[in-house]
Amino acid sequence: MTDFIRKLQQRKEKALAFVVDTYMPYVKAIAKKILQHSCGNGAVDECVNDVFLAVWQNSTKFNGDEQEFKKWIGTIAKFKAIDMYRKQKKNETVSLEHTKEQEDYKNGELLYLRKEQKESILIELQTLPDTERELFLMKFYLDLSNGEIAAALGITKSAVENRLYRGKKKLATLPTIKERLE
Amino acid sequence: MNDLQEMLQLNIDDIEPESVTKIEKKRLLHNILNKKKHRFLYYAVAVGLMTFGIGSSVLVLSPTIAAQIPIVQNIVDYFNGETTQFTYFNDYATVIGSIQTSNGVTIEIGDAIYDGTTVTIAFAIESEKEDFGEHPIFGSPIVTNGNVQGSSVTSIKKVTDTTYAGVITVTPELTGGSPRTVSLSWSPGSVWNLETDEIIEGDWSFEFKLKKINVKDILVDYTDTKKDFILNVPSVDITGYTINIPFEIEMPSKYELSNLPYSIEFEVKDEFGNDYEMLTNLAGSTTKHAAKGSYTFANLQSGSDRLTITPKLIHENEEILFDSFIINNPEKSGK
Repeated sequence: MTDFIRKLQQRKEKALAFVVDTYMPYVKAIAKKILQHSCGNGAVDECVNDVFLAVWQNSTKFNGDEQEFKKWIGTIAKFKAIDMYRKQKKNETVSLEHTKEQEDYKNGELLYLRKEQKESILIELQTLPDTERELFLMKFYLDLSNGEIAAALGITKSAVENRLYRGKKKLATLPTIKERLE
Repeated sequence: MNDLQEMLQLNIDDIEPESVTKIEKKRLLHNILNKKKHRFLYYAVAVGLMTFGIGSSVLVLSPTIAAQIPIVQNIVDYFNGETTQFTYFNDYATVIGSIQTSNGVTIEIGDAIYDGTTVTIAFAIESEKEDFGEHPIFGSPIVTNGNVQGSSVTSIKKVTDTTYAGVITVTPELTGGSPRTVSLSWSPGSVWNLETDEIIEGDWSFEFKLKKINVKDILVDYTDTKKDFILNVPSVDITGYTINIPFEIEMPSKYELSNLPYSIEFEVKDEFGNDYEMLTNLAGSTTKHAAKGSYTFANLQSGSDRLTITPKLIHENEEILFDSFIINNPEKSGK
């Protein structure tokens, strides 16, 4: 399909079908690599579903060509999967009490709202240049410590702090992040 | 190096694609188009409903009374919290209460609304044995005044293992404007479990008529031209349930609806800054370089007197903003 990005942004269902057909094998491979052993196939499916839903709902925020689109969808998949992995790890270490149904319902809504806000951060940060994108996704989407980011990027903790400090101006143009910086 | 670090260092450019079946792709596409919500909310709501589901299945033990007892009560309530569409639905809906069973599967049309532009139908499904997965899909669409053309959005929620609540919102292509009544017919033909690819066929067939609910037609006569696009909004229809914005657009000669790079959108805000939720829309060509259609938004929120409507054409980062226009709440200005 030619010009599928434009058609996707016009919310043409055929373009979405094309995107699913073309990129699902790639997105599933990323989700599987991160989640299959640690969280199982159910988590892989949920992650793939969330990635395409986010792409469909936020397609107008994407700006670029086909190659950049692959990078975009791949980065969303990678970070959503890592986020799910970390949540799973947290759940394993906290002993959960059996709660009443009504309380579950309320918590469900709260979690949902937080998830919506996190999604905005994930999408907004995609507008940053390649070199900064991963660092800021680790900091603001995954909420990693500067030490964890330093280890992952193979740089010193002070280099992380320095890059975060220099990047603040750019971040202030992104609405959801700005809210968190204040 | 720990697991997290390895994951963070994963180079997505080096990933080899996985094999994916056609069924998996179909199921994913269906989930997205039905705006399937995140698992957290979905599970949370399902938990709340289980209690009710068990209660109702006890009630339908006797087949003789089953026909009169709804499969699911207050169908639209299952979608509250996810959409503002149904805030006033029950105030305007007509009870249809038609229930049919075929091949072990019962389909109920609960209630419905026709607002002059869109038709909303609340339905429920109950199966004797089959679990249809999370989002079953029907074989055939709803026919409005003998016509299947139009756009529709179907939302479905699993209530118990064998019971579903759902809503279909259709913007049919209505020839001759907005008739006072519409005739609806629906023979779903089959219910398809996307997860197992199993299809259960049946001969359910529903026919009913809906009268248009009270519509306040506010004359706007708005025309604006930006970058050689002429956009016209003749009126805005406010009903207790929805806000409908009919429009016409004339395009520069290099464009027609099929190759228009822009999407036509409307932003609807009230004086408190509330953004209104778009429910459905439809557009069709009238001549080579002109089109008409409509946008349907959720109802005015209580307390608001004034809506500011801004038409837009959006293409990637480019936005053509038309002048905004204001309409007043007819309920308030009329007093």
